[in-house]
Amino acid sequence: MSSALQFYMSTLLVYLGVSLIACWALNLQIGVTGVLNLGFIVFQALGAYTAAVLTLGPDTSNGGFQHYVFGAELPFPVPLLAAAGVGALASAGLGSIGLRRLRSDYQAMVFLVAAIIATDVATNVTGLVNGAAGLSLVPQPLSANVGLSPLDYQWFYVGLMAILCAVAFLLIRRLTLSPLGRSLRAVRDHEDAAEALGYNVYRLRLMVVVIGGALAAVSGAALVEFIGSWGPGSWFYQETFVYLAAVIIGGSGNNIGVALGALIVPVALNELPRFIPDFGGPGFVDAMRWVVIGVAILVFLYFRPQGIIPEKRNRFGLAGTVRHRWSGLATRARVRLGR
Amino acid sequence: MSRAFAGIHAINDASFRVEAGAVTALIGPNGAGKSTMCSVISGFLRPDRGSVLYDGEEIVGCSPHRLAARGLLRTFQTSSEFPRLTVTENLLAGARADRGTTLIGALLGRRYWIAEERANLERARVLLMSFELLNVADQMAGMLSGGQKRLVELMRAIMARPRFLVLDEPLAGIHPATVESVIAAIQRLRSDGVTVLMIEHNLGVVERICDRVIVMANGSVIANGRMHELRQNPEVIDAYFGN
Repeated sequence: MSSALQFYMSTLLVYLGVSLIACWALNLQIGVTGVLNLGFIVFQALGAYTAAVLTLGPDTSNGGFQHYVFGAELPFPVPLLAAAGVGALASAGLGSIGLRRLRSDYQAMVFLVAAIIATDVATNVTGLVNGAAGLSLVPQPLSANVGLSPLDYQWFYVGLMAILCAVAFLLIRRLTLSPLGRSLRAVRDHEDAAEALGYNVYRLRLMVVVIGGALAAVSGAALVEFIGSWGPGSWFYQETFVYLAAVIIGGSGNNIGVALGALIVPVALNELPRFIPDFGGPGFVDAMRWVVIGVAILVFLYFRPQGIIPEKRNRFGLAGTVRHRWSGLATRARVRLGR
Repeated sequence: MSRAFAGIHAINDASFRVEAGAVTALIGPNGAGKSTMCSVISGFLRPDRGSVLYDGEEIVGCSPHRLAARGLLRTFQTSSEFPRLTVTENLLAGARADRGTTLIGALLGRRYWIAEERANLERARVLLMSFELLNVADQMAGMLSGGQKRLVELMRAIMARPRFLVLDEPLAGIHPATVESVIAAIQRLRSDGVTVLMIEHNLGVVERICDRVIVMANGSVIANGRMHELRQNPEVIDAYFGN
């Protein structure tokens, strides 16, 4: 592989890792628990900003050309962990307002409105995170310590990303396969019935909003530490719909399906336009991306709402008719109970 | 207690006692306020005024999940299964799972909660067998027939080990042959010491299994007693059986 291609591939893999973590987190909220968090991108952005300001050092560095709060130069992985904490705290705050007394469609509106407000605040309060210009020159983690060539560093970061993804996957898998995961799906399926059975619906929803918020923040932190810059343009509220499309197309409620969705939508759909010759005027191909995402969501909701790989049915085999089903990649997702 | 919706008095100074350990029927014509009463008792609605005493304690203002944790459970008039969970999972969702349903427990992994899950699974199997639904155990609950959904809901509530169970028309839409297994289940609950309050329109069934009967009409309790006594009560005859 030529080094240019290696650069490209490794960058794509890092993007895939970021998307995987984000999509699993969003799936936990939307697909598993039915919390329609349309402001998901805010928590990714928050994680990115947190990691950036905690890596950049005080805002007098680099000639003081950018202005931001809480500038510090903390060693990796402290900015990443701090991002997770800030993401969790912020989502707990928003969740406790939005989830308490509202039904799910109105909850979605709270999150969406919060996302729009957040972009405006970040853009217009320039001293916060450098306004519309955004933050740049975020140093890459450990780049000074490991002493690798730029290309080798790319692959090093892919490795870091793989570790993060594995941790996120195992965490979410344990959650969704446990009785707690079943409670979450019960809340999704019938809020009142779940409440009547003793589930604190509000607390369960808040829990997945917080866990998802922390994971979203980690994905944002991992992204900004890699690309080195972050601004309001990276997280317009529409960006949530990229992940939402990935969840719906891949298979809402199925972590493997969602991983496939993350490969198809955020990665492939964002990257393909690079290889399409420009036509229809400047910016046309890029704008069409949103049309394609919107149409894809609609087509799937109409014709295959369960997505490419549907949610797995947990068979317990009480009827004595259970067969081991080897359906694709999702075999291990089945809860096995000894009989 | 009283409760009004937009000026319509769904419950109008209604008051009654439910005897512990007995099966009590709540009957009355449509619009009498029976379902509203169920919702108030189970914490889904707040009364405009009045109180609900459970074990001698005021429970108005308690959220439904708190009441459920104290053993007060309800079923719904419309089928309210978890459609994308299998029948078995619906039942398991009703059972208490103190280890597996906490965040820490879930993260600790299968080994931490599997014993509890197996015990619940065994209870689910026995219950499914008694309702002759073992053959649909692995089906999505949303794919069942209306009557089967009602049974799943009843079994789910039984899995929660209620102390006081409020059933909103448990027999609606259930095949006559299956009615007997529901009746048997209710009788089994009573012999286990569970208090049952059920809204029911089938007076034959009410007469067979209910110890006491409360008759509501226009938001008020108009009579309270044993079924054979009530059949003689002119007010009840007028409001319920018609002329």
